[in-house]
Amino acid sequence: MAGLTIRRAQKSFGTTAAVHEFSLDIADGEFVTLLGPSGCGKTTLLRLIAGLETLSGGEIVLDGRPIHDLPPPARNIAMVFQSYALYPHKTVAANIAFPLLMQAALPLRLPGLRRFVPGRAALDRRIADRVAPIARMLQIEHLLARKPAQLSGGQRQRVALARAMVREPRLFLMDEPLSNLDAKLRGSTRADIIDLHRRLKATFVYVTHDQGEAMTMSDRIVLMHEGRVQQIGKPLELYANPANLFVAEFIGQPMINLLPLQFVGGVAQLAGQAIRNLPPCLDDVALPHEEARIGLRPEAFALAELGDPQALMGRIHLIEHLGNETHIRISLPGAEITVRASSSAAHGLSVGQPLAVRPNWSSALVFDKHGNRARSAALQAAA
Amino acid sequence: MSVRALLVHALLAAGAVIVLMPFAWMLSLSVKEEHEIFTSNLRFLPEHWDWANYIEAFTTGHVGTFLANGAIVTLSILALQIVTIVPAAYVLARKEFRAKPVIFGMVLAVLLIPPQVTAIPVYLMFAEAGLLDSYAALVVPFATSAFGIFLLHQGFKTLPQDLIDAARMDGASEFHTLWFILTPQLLPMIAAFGVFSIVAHWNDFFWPLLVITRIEHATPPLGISIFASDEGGNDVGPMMASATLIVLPLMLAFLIARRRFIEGVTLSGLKG
Repeated sequence: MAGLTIRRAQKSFGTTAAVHEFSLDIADGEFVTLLGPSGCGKTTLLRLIAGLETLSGGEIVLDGRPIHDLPPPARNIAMVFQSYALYPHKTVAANIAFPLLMQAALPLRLPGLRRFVPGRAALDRRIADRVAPIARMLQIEHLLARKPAQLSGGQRQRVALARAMVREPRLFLMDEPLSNLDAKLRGSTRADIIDLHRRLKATFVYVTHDQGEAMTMSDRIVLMHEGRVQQIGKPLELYANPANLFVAEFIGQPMINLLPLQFVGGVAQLAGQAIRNLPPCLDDVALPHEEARIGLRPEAFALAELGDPQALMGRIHLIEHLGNETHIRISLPGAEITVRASSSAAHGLSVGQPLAVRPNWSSALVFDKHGNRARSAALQAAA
Repeated sequence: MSVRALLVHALLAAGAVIVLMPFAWMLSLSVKEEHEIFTSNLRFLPEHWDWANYIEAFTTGHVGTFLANGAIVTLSILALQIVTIVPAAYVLARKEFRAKPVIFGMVLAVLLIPPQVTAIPVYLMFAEAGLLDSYAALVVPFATSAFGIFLLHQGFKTLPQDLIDAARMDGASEFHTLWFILTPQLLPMIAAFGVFSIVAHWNDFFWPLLVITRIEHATPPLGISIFASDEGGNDVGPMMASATLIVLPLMLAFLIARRRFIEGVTLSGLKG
């Protein structure tokens, strides 16, 4: 089968395991993001696929061929590094041409000496013919004679992409390629990479710690934590239907609100406020878990009238105007929540003022005290 | 200019005069005729400029041979040193293996040992091998440099791992990565080491004195001393001309590459 298959891949450094039994099937042409906080094993996994690290166990198969015992260049995989890793003493053209040059016969690879080797002119012409269209595609043609030090961050990034593309690999690996760019450039480069993926029709494995990047770029996200997979799925799936508390907290900006749910004398208390009629969708899942937590996204609240029996009461702690919307932080007796409201709805509110918000229970997520998702038939139907 | 600055400059100028005096005197004597050198009155500039001393330095003094020997020996030493210290430093900086701490410790230990300590055993080894009084005797003992290994080790440590990984992904062999990707990044450091090495071995007197007896293999400082003791004992003029000619290459190198030179000399200060 085409694409990349990883079966029970393991990697440990000494006694510490960086990757635990990782399995994943990536379809041909798919854009998969490995997402997670630093130290979660995502970069180690990428380096295992690249061949820069050796597996402690398991296998990696690309296009039906096991590759985990092959040296990196034999795997037909290209990698874009976080620091771009351009060769500082070579021109842009020589940087892009380097992977092709390394496929030539040994005497033709030696700087200086190659001048005297027959066939050099023909090789250089062939290489230039392959570099030119890629440089044109990435709009770096005018930079070919420069050295990396003379380029801006965005330009260096494009050169790194060009160098990865020149061998026409089956698989592209990208290790946080946008993290060294400023915010504005990051947005446009993000779009460029998506566009590139569409045009090349190649498989991309992309590593990032930025959930926004992962959400906007990927076909699928693999969310990792401490060397283990937390959830694999489409971006919106991870957002709406997280497998556990870690996923729920990691995905989404601003972060999901977590409200402790307790039962005092048979009465449900959410964030310290008694809920008179617990919504039926919650009650059968929440009851067996005496210390459950209810997850509600910032947009799962509506501003309500003070005194609304269905609403939570609190005091405004902070108001953040973003222009198109407003984030209101509200202190409840037992928690602090962030509510996303339209600018017009938030108009006239001020810090310190009491505010009532009514949760949209149909999108509530219930987590037990271990942070696992507690599901019920009713909830799953609602999700 | 403030009084303070004036004072500082006067002091520095006095220091410069004291340091430069022997050189100035050497230059002055090298262009004087013999009878003028030994007059009782002190004159800096000659009454009559005489370049014959320089001609004599080349003809009877063999200065040409000394200069050529100096060039052959220092450049051979430097070439061998680069070939040996680059891989050694790379391996010590970027590879993990069990004997590494021991080997690196040995490199550091060698830094602490003055060359005079090992001179006798090395001399005996060369005598045994029948290599005394040859270029090999001048070059081979300095084929590697503990100081160079230590210096480049620090350099290789600063290079990003991504650069090595990128070269590996692109299909470069380890040999190609080391010599054509990583080493070019350390060229300034290697140039500074080169200056240090050339100056040290051009000016070295101790080792050539031990292993060289024939004037055909003499390096510049040794040559001068042989010339002084053999035939030039009283020929102060030609001797000063020879000395001038021997100092000249390093002077010129200094003027051409002043920055690298200062780096190199700073290194030697770091070492000594």
